[in-house]
Amino acid sequence: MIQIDSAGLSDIYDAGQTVTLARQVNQVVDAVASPRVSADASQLIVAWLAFEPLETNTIDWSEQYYCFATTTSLTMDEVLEMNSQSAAPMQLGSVYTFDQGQFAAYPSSGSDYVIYNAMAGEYGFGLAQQATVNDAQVFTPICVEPVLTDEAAYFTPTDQISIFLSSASNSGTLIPPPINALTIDVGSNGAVVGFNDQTNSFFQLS
Amino acid sequence: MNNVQFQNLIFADSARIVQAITTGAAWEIWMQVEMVLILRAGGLQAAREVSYPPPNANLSLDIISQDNAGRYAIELKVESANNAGAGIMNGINTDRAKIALYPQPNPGARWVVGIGYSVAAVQAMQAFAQNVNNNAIYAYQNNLGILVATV
Repeated sequence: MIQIDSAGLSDIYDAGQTVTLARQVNQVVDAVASPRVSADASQLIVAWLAFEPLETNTIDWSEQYYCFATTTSLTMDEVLEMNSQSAAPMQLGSVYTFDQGQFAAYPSSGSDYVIYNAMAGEYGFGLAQQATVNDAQVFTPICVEPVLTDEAAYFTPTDQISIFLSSASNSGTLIPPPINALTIDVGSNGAVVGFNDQTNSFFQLS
Repeated sequence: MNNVQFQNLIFADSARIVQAITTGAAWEIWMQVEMVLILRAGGLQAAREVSYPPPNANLSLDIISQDNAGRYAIELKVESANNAGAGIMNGINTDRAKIALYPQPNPGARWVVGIGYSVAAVQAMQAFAQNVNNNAIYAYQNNLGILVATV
């Protein structure tokens, strides 16, 4: 839950910004480490949820992930379009082969969500997740990684969620890593977050 | 040739393989070439980097081999700096999914070969082979662990 007082809401709306959440996902393409939501400004992250806030904002999600492929240019301010996606939630460890424009699962065992590109050319692959923001359901990407032919991407979502203000008006927008994000470890108990309108930053209440 | 005979062919070359490992990273290409030589020395025909048949001609098979009993499509994954330890299983699992796109040779087999040397890698491969659903054999000799997974 994210609570924002009247002054905070006015500041956010006056600035034309949104409350934005990003999930930290450990992601690797064929063993080349590429952690996101980091201090490395050269890397973009996915604004998983970007919304116009109310005074009290409730956000829920299920820990089920779908894989997607996108041809969207992986550059700043682009909104990821999911051109293909798995028909069912991914199974941890199984390898999802992208072939003939669609995903097929190859059962296996492991600790990552794995996507293998069997098609010619480069695609952006990532995970998408369903969430509910103030009772509105959304289904948006949480991460993306460019993957060449005959390469695999390995994704491991963490419980680390970053909350910040951004100019992203759509969920699934590629943005620079935030400087003043509140990063919290959201376990099964959830968290309550407040907003300081003096510093324009979020803080954890419980 | 069956999977055990194939595994034994590789073990017979283990002294050279261990020497190659000590050279450091990026020895998978060397191992591909060595594998072709191992197979040829064993009386099989073998070639490396062969395109998959359409519609997956953009993919490349590490090794194709043939004897009087059949044809063998082989993907190779070795432990290296990039996939050290248990991480080798990521590559092996991906190769299993990849080689499933290669038409089943009949007669013959599709194999993914994993070669590891660290404690973590050999333990991971051994655990993988102990699950009968994975249709794999594993053995350890001369400081090398070799997994042959049939797809």
